[in-house]
Amino acid sequence: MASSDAIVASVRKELDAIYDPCSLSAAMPVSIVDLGLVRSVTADEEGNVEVTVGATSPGCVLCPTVMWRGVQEVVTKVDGVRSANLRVDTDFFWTPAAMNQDVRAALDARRAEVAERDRYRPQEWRRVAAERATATNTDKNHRAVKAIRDARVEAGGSGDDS
Amino acid sequence: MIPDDVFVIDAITHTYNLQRSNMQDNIFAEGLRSLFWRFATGWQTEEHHLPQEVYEDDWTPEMLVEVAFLESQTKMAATHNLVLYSWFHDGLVSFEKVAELAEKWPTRFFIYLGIDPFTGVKSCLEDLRIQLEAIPDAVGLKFYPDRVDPLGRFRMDDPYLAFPLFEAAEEAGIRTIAVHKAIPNGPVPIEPYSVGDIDAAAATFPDLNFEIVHAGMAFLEETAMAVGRFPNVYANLEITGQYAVHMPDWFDEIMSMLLFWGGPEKILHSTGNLLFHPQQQIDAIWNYQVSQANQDKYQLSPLTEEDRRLILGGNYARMVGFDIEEGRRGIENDELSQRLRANGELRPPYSHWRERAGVPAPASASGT
Repeated sequence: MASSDAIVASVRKELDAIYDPCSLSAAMPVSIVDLGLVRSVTADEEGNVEVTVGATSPGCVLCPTVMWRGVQEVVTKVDGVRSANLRVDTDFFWTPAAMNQDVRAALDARRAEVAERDRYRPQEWRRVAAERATATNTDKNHRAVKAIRDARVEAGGSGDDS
Repeated sequence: MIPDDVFVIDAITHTYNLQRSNMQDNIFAEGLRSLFWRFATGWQTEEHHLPQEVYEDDWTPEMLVEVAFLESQTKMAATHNLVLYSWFHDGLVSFEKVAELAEKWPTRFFIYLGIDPFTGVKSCLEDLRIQLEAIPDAVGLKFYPDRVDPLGRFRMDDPYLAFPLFEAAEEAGIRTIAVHKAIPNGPVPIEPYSVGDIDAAAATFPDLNFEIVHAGMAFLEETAMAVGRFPNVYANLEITGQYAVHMPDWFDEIMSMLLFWGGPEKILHSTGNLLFHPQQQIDAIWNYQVSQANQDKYQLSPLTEEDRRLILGGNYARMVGFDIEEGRRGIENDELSQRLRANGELRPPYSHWRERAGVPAPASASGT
């Protein structure tokens, strides 16, 4: 039978394969371990494991549902685990400081890269608003969208996908 | 209490019907209703707690008016017709309630109509036409990004479904489109609640405004960047604003990011009243200051009194093209202002609701 230390190490390794749902949705996947959401993992000699996780936001409804199920699924499959007790730490206050700092740096770099590529600047809306008096690409976009839809309707469609 | 000349506009108020008989028979309705209850009890102090059977009732227009204008310093409020038909039989806030608010208190409310995109373009356009006949002064449209049972999603950048609706709204004089984001309505997929579909809508309809409702509850950076890039995208703080009361450190993180990317002109005070009692958020936002750590981190200037006035009402007025001085004149001698002056002070939180339900105030209640 695996030792409690070995079980804890195995459980932590498996938890690293669970991704934060919001990070997946934002196309920047980060595991719950790298986010710092796994607060503790303990195991006794009989293989009874307790995992405590937190959420990035106190309003997160996916932590006690989707994440909880994910954790339960992987923990119970670890060799030597007899039972798994899972707990959500509702007092935990997450900030980016809780993240794996290498991952945080990589995310920051990714954001900076996207910001540079798309020319994001803080409060860019002020410049855009100032330029609105002249013909803009948005006008062209608007016309293009209408033309596409009109053509589709003319071809026999309703223009209504629902 | 804040200075009384601050013209507070609450960017979202609600008259939910949370009665069990209004719930659809699915796990999503139960999940969403229990989420409201947990917000109300877990995120508010004890003096704001009501018995569960009193809270989970059919909230009337009169209840909203009493809480907003006699128990808080809110001067005007936006209110939404909701079309969450796959969760609640009447959509959660019926059109009849919104029409009553518009008819009885026209100088107090900005009305948002609700159309259900899952019924298709033609149906929506007809529904919009009918609603506008009843409330021609409506300023907004409210959307939700998904439906349940079966699950489905609505994208704000859908050129064949969303854009015809936005076109019709713009032609009818609607000024703003509010879309629920960031907080999943119960145990549902979160992807529809991300904000990546706002950009194309905002870029394509530069003369409409778009409110990201529950801004910062999730997808904070993406929301802040959208608010920062587009003149017509705003961060609506409904529920997020309760962090100012319940978890001020977290509120500071969210506000700092929104202020860095968008600036104080792009943030809308919004309480969700009657979901939360509004006065606690009004006080908390008036007293909020960016932490020194975040001023240093984001190179932000401290919030000024003028910034707070913008967040609490000035931004909303500008967004919908409303003259605040006209608003003051419209309410200064109405029945509610007269009652407020006669009372001499705000009534204690939920006093009207408690009287109506026949329940005593909690021992800790000491007024506002």
